[in-house]
This record gives sequence, structure tokens and C-alpha cells, in this order.
Amino acid sequence: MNELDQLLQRIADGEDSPAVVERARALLREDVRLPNELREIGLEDDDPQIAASALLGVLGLDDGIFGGLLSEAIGLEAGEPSASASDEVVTAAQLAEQESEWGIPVADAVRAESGVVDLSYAWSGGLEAVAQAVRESAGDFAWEGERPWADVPVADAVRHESHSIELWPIVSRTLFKDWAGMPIRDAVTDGGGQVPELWSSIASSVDADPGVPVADAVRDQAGSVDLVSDVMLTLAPATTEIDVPAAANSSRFFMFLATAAVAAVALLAVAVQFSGNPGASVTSGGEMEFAKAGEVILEEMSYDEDVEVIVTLPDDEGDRPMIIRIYEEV
Amino acid sequence: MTTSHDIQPHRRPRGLGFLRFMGLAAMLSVAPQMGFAQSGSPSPTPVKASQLPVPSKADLEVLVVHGDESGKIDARLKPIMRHLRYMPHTGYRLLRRDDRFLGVGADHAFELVDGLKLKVSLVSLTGTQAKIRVEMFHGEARKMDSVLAVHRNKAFLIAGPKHEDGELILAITPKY
Repeated sequence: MNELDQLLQRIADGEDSPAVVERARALLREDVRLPNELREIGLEDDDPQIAASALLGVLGLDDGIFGGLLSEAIGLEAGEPSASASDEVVTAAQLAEQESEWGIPVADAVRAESGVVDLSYAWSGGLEAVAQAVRESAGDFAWEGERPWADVPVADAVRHESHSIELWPIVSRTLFKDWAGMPIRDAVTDGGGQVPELWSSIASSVDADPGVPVADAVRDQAGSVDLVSDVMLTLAPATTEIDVPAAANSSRFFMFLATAAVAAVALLAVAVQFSGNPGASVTSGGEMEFAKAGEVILEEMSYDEDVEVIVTLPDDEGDRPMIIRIYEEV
Repeated sequence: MTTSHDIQPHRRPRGLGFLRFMGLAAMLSVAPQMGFAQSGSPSPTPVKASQLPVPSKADLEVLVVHGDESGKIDARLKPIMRHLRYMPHTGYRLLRRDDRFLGVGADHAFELVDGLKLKVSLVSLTGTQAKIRVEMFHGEARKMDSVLAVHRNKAFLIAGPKHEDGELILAITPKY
């Protein structure tokens, strides 16, 4: 044992004289048996007694928990330490070179010893922190919207919080993976079939495969879609439900029972005629269809004393509609 | 194009309403056979009306249009402009669209313009046509009451009530 070894042993045994510790530190910095890192910080620990014990173990002078075994392992893997070698930074390339030259799978051994680091757990725990950072970076933006991230610099906020690490691709993959696991896509697919225009838009937004069949099933389920009516509903002002009073003038309410009988015959004829076209659509190429001759029957009509009514019959092509024109004498 | 014998542009003489209506009903009863003969294209797989499923609800749609002499056409009315050319106006504007799903026996009423109200009722449904009742009220007074059997998804017009410098035109469609 040299002077350093003896001093370390004394410190490990409980001696805490500043002079002894300082001398041991000075000798430690010059001891080439140890790596540079240990030379610099070896005795800087708050508890020099523990640090000294550890150093003795590294030097193979302690039979404690690590003592001889640790020293032996280091010696086996690294060989005799030298001042020049210990000053170098071991790179992956050097490891590869050593493995190639000596046939010792150092890198594999290290990986085998370190095992698999499960980052997903840390990531799942980190999501909350990322989310909090995003919220703070986004300020007072209202998150209740349908697509809150559409107008929020989420990616920038994440990058800022992650200090230039490109976390956003990971975040997006995580989120979209989670979305893919939700029943939204399955529900759309099962219920809809394929709508190329709609689904391709959705797919491009969520970075998904647009080749999922949706449109045909949607068309089968929905039949003809009257978009014109929906547009009108959006553009036109809403109506208000009101209560209509009971009629105060029924004196001229003609029931035309005889006419109803004639109309019943007409209805029967219409039913036969219409039997071949049960699925007629309200629109054809965006145009509303009007009843042609035989497709509309005025069964009953009554009107007030100051009202005149004139009925225009529809033509056979459905071009000219039935028009019930009311003239009110005001 | 409009022909004088198809459209009846004259006001009804007092006391002749019943006879006029009888004539109209007779014409309507003959029309189906005429239309069928002219079409010449019966369905290859005819299905009788009695075999079709009978729905329990229908969507009664009412388009409220204002016709005037402004010469301006509301672009939203493009789907029906081919039919509105039979109306005596140069300008058309969509005031509102109202549609409600109604079960048989249910009705829906709403105000067209100030004081003028429309009430539509679903009387009955078959696989091919809906019977609807249309009533128009001016204040407390019922001005018109009618029952029509209309082919499903086909529209007809009610026109005439004065509004501003023109008149109201209602396009009514039972959808199902």
C-alpha cells in the first residue's frame, strides 16, 4: 500500500482530519491507477469516509460490497490503466474497433447489462408535463373548441419546452395512435363505407390511410342527399313555432264529399301508376322535383268569403307545377 | 309554356266554386291514365303501392319565396327556377325554409310574414304519396283550408298572399 492507500484506509476507518483528507485528495489527483473522473471527484463527497471506502474498493484494497470483484472486473475488461488511455474519451467507434480487433463484444455486454430501458413509462408520465407546458405556452386560448390545436402553436410550445428536441412528431404519433385505437374510425367505417372526399380529408388531417371504404356504404345508408335544402336551411332565417287559433270562420267550409269520391278513384289510378318508381328522389342534379299531372290531387278545398282560389293544373312533364293561387280581398 | 286552357287566370265567379271544383277533380282523376300512356316507359319490375312499406313519418318542407318585379333572382332558388317561370314575376327571393318531421296526425304551424300563418298537417301516408292538409290564417281568421294527396318527394305551389311589393309563393314538399 502506498501513501494514498494508507490515507484512504485511515479515512475509511473514521479519521476526518482536514489535513489527512486534503493530503489524500492531492495524492488522488496524481494516481494513475484511477480514471480521471475519480481522481477529480473521488473525495469530494460530503462523507469522505464513504468515498474513501469506495475508492479502496476500486483499487482492490477493500473486500466490501464491490471491493475485489469490481477491481477485477475493471481490470479484466480494460486491462492495465495508463495515463494516456484514461485521458481519452471512449467513443462508439473505438468500441467497435476494439470489438473487431479483439473479438470482445464490449458494446453488447454493456447493452446486455443495462437491459431494456422502458421509456414509454417515463413518456407517459412526461405527457402531463408536456401538456402543462403546452397549456402555459398557449396562454389563455380557449381549449373548448372542436380542434383546439388548430390555432395554437403546440409544436412550437413543445419544442420550446423540450429545448430543441423534436418532440412534436412523437407527440403527434402518440396522439394519433391513441385516436386510431378509439372507435371513431371503426364507427365511421362500419356505418359509412367509403366517402373519398370526406375520409381523405379526415385521413390527411390525422395522417391516416385514406384507402378505407366509406363512400358506398354512406350512400347506401343515406340515399339521396339534398344539399340544396341544407344550404337553404343555413342561409334562410329560422322559423318560429307558433300556436294557430281555432278557426273563427267555418261557415263557408265546403267538404265536397262527392269530389272526394271522385278523387278516391284518381288516387287508385295514381297508386297503380306510381307503383314502378317507389324510390323517387326529391332532387335530381340539384333540382327540386314538382309533381306532374296525376301526382298531386286536390281532394278538399274551402276558403273564406273574401278569398278567391284558382288552381292551375300541372303538366305531364312536371315542368309546370300545380299552383293554388289565393286572392284575398283586403 | 303556359297555355290559356291549362292555367285558369280568371277569378272565380261567386257561387260557382263547387262546380269548378268538381270539374277540377274530374280532370285530376283522368290525368293519371293520360300521363301513363304518354310516358311509354313503365318500370320493368313494377311494385304495387300496397306492397311498399308504409312510413310513419314524413318531412314536410315549405319554401317561402317572395316574388316581385325587381328582376333579381335569389341564387338559392336555382333548384326551382325552372318551375317559377310560370309565375308572373321577374324577381324571386327566398325568405325562409321550414321543414319538420311529422307523424301521421301531427301538424306544424308557423308565421309566414306579419299576421299571415301557415299550418301543415300530415293526414296519412302510403308507400308512394302523402295526404297533407294546408291551412292559411290571417290573424284569427282561416282564409284557406285544403287537403291534397301528393306523390312523395314532389312539390306543389301555393301563391297569392300579398307581401311588400309582391306576393308570397310557397313550395310544399312531403319528403320521405
